[in-house]
Amino acid sequence: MIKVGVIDYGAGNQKNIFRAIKSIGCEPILAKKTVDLKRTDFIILPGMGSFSHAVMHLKKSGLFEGIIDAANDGKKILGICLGLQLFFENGDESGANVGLGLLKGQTVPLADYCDFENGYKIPIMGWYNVQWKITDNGSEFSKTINSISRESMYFAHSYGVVPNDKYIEIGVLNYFNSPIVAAIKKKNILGAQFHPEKSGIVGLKFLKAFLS
Amino acid sequence: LLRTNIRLIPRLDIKSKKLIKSIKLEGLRVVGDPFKAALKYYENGADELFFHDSVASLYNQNHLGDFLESITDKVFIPVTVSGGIRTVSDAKYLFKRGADKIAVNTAFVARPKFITELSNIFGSQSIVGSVEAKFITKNRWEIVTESGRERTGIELNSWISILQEMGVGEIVLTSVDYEGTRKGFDLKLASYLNITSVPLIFCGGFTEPENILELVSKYNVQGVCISDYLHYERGSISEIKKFGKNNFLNMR
Repeated sequence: MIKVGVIDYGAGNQKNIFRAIKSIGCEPILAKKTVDLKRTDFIILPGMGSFSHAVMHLKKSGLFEGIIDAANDGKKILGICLGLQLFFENGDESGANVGLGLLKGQTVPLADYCDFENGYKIPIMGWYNVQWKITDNGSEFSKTINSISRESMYFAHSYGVVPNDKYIEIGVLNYFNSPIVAAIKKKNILGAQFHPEKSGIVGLKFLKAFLS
Repeated sequence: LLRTNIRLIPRLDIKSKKLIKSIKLEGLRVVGDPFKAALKYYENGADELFFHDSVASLYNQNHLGDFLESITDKVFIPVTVSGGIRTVSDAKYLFKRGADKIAVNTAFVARPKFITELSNIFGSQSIVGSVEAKFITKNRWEIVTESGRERTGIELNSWISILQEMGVGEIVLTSVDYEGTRKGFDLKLASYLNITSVPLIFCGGFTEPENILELVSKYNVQGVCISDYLHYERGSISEIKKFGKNNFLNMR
């Protein structure tokens, strides 16, 4: 059975991603230390908690370096929401912080960074359509994305990522006429700003596409 | 119409493992099984689920852990839990059992700093300010606690500013006067309210799909809680969505 390491940030948030992984026939493993990553086929950085709290916890447990090493070894990693934000260099939820730096770019507070039309609310919370930009049309992953491209995903976030390399953006959410990065992909690294584990059947299809 | 998508959120009040319904937050009546109801609403297209432990405040403890554990095995949409959350460890316990968001009323009023403590650990997007508003006199609504039993003397708009400053990521506003009355949403309350910077969910009074149109065409609201209408099977989520689509509301 495919083993999926789920990173522990110490905020008690892994249950729902565990359930989603089980429901598509894979085995979730709670990764509390770097050694736990060794016996996994995939890694997921889940999407709950604050940036600073997560970084603090990862440094304490040693997973901070463990995740970087695994990514550099080519292991497939999915970051969800906060997990996606942690891939980048800086994040400033609850003060300035340094992320994993696997991808070049920043995590920014959307309200300050974006030029939204009037009436917007932050956090972005709810079901929204993602505009997908998939170029490699042959792969199983892109076939799945094409099959769910008209469905909505569940978002819940106040911060967003601004990658230096625009080409890694594979999905965009248009919120009050301002584009927000909804998904990124670079080699073995995949990131979703939405919550696939909370986006019903469609979200589970997305997870399955990653884990295959 | 507004560009935010409107969320339909069934609200399930639970007491001793039974689904119950109140009128103006009083006179609890058993109306069914919360597990069966929640599963049905999920399969029918609910955007989120809201679970409230009706006796938690009384016993200073939320009893929904086991229920959450079993229902979140089956539903893959966001789940908010409220009732009796007083400490960081109460919150952690509920997140561990499957909650995505927690909603707090009484403990925030007692100690607003608790809001910041929670959002620093769990992120503001998972901390909901549950607000119960009661009409006092012309142009004054106040907030109440303990399921409407305790008056606080705090004016509604000033309280909502505090919630936002301290770091809630969403506000669920219940009109105590309209809750369970089938009068439609409290539009006077909606017009009294200052525009919030965080998403706002309206709760209390929904009786037919037109109520949503009346509310969101004029006020900046991101979702509605629905209970009575669904629990008594007067209609379904899919019927509301069909109405919404026909009337150009943004819905999932």
